[in-house]
Amino acid sequence: MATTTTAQAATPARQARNFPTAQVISLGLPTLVVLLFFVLPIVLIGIYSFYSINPETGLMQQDFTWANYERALTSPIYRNIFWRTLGIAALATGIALLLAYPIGYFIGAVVQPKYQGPLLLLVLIPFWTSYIIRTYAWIGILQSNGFLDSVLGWVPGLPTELLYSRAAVIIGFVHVFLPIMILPIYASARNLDKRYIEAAYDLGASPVKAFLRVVLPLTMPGVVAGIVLFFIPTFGSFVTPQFLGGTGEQMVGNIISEQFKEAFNWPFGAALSIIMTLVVVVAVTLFFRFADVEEIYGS
Amino acid sequence: MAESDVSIRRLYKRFGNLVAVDHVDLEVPSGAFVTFLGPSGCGKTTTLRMIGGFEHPDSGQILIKGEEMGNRPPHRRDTSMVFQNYALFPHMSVADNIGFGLRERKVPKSEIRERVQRMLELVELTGRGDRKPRQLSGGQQQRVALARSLVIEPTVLLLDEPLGALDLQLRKQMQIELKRIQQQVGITFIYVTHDQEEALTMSDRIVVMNDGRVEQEGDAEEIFENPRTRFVAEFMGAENVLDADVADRDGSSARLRIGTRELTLPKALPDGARTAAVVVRPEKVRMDVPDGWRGTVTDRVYKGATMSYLIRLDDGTIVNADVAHDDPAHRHDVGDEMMIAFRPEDIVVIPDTKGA
Amino acid sequence: MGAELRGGGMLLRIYTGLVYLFLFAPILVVALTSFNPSGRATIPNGLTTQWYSNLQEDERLIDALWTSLQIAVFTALIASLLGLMAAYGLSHFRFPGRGALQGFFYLPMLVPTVVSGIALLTWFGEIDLDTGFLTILIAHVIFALPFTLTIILTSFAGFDTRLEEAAQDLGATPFRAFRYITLPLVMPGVLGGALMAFTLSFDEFVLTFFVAGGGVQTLPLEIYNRIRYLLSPEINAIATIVMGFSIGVLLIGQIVVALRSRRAAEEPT
Repeated sequence: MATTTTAQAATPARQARNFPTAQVISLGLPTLVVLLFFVLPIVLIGIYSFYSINPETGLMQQDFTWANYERALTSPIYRNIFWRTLGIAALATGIALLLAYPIGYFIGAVVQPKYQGPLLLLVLIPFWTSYIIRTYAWIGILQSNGFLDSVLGWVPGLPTELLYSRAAVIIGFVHVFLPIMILPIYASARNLDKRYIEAAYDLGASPVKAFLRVVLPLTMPGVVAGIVLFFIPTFGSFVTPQFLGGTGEQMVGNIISEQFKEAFNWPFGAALSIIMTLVVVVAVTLFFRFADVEEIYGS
Repeated sequence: MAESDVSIRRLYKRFGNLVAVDHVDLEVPSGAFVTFLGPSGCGKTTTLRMIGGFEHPDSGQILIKGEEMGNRPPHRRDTSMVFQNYALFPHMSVADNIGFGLRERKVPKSEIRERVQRMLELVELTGRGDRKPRQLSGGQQQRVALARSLVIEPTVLLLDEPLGALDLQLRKQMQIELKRIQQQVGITFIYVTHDQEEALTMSDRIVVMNDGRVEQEGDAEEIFENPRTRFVAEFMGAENVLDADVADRDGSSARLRIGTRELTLPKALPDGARTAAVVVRPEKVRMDVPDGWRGTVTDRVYKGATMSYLIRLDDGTIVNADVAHDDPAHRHDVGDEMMIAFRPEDIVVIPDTKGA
Repeated sequence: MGAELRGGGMLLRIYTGLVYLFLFAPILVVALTSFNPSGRATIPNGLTTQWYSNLQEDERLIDALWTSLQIAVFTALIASLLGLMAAYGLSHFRFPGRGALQGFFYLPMLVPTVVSGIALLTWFGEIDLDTGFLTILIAHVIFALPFTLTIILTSFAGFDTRLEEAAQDLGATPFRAFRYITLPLVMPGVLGGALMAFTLSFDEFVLTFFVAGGGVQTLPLEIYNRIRYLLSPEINAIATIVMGFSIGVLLIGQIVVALRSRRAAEEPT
């Protein structure tokens, strides 16, 4: 009897120690929300991707088939679209990097600190305005007899019709997502200790060598973060190709959207989604591994 | 024993595999200035934090005014802590910082104002109540932290290396200041530091800790003059701690072998002791005796009032000896040879029973 | 070396200027076109506010704007509250798997929004939740949470948890310590997160496109539909207003931060 009483008396204190309520609530609720409205939905389309469509009724039936994946990966149409999507996203990312790096470096490491805030704000302003509207703006600029024509129409030899081309899609991507690439590059350039560059010069390095051996490696984490942040939304986009591209610029996002909004082949759309997600996850993982961000941060 | 404000019984705390506090027993007498002294990682801060309720003991008890604390949270304990970095609330004025505890206790506003005012006077910050903490110097911030804790009149005030961030001169000044305030308010202070000089200056009682255990407990003189363990002797800054073997003993005396010679001690040593540490203060080392340990002067340092010699004995032991610098009888150059000795009544012998 | 750098600096300056032009040109063209009597994106040969007056009678557009504002306000509230909770938990407790949990909250950033959108659409069908206001709100909260969490975590990084201990030590319950010490000190991060969530939600299109269903139109959806089906000149006017609004929110946020830090700097130390 006596021992039971002691044990009971000891329980609340011990529970309080093992399960601090503040910890359970503060972390539990957000976890639950993400689990319920993100993880489970993704798991669900994972399940759907193995379902099939009954060819007679057109209704979805719950079975287990690899047919959707097979179709997505072996059919030349979809394989082409995957490669095209990857190509467009990679090209846009590369061009964006060429634009973003000098700007990020300029704001972070060259200008006086008092100008950093305003210049950064100027990068943020476009980022802070609607994606749809900014993409729409390019229609007006690039279409024939559009703004570009009205400004540069007198220059001979310029292509007059840029809209509905791959160039238009890439311009759209670069414009829309450039700020999110500039920000991490700026951040790593700002944290760059200028004494390293001075030391490199002091040791006889040319500006080019100093850049390649010192500046670039030290800003690598920002570059990697910028590439990842730019690549993910570009790869998954469907609005930009829809607005700015022709039929030849359809990307995986458009096909997925179509399966759910028009063709009503959810299992196939789900399989495409899973493949797209895997491509992004693998690309991001490989990229982080390749760039060895941990090591750069560590040193 | 005098009335205890804090009683600690078999207190034990582990972090992972590391035993931070290892079955500590302690009584803190009412109104005393008690210092937990020891190197970092000795368990002094963990013990303090357990008294304050910030950590919970794995086993053992803490009683405050005879009441068992268990896992009672900090806000329901009659203790108050002055943090190492002061932990002043940066978004509140000095007066609001000091009044915080009173507001939590639903003390009427007019009384809060009055008591905050009195505290500002006590810590000599009158007129600074409207400032924000960051507008004050380190020493002033320290006083605000003290006032904030004192104003709620805790049974015990806990101080976690509160002077650590101050420069040496300010630290010395604050030591005296702290002692004055403690005597004025009469509240029990438990003070944690790794600085033995600070401990000696302020404390009524010193608790020397090492590896989670209490090495020795006593007043400043006792700890300094009669260290009971080799660790205490060395931590309190003893310059000569010599290794000795117990060569022979009987009920009332013992013979110790130190290096090449022996010395007879007119008191008994505990049964288990085969070796011992011998502590001798540099000024008690007698130089140029006719018969003693032979040694060579390896270094000589002028210290103002004294001249300090480093002497290497034949077995390699280094002994530090201080003599008045203007004493021509004991003037030596580096390389000189001589005999040194110590009187049995001038040395402290710490028998090592563990090594037996 | 100095001259070399200066020459490089000049090139860099010009380059930066051109990139800024590239970033702002589309925004400016839309704004310009909104005042162009021809309604086309060309160099205007006059100015008109006709397209703006047309908006006043456009009830669909006004309804959509109202819906977007409501969703954005709720998203800001909920996402910053959840972000605050998660940031508090992540910065206060040490436990195995803490880093993994933080990564878990960032998962929605890793998955393309098209995929999140169709996943949510499928899920809402599965749990029989009718698409509409609530489903849009849920989608926006999930989308905004990683951003609010990041911003609020930054606030907590500069927060000394000993301040909470000090407050509790002085008699405050853990809740009151949070309310009077922690919350005021991380408030800038919470407000910044809320502002970010508001804008993200207000401009969000892809997720909304999938989870809106037929009944509820947000402003970006309405704009999308008009761009797609009937290129009406009023779009430029509403687009200019929306951009002006978003930029206004951003600038107000920046000004508040600037004033705060100036006030802090002005106090003598």
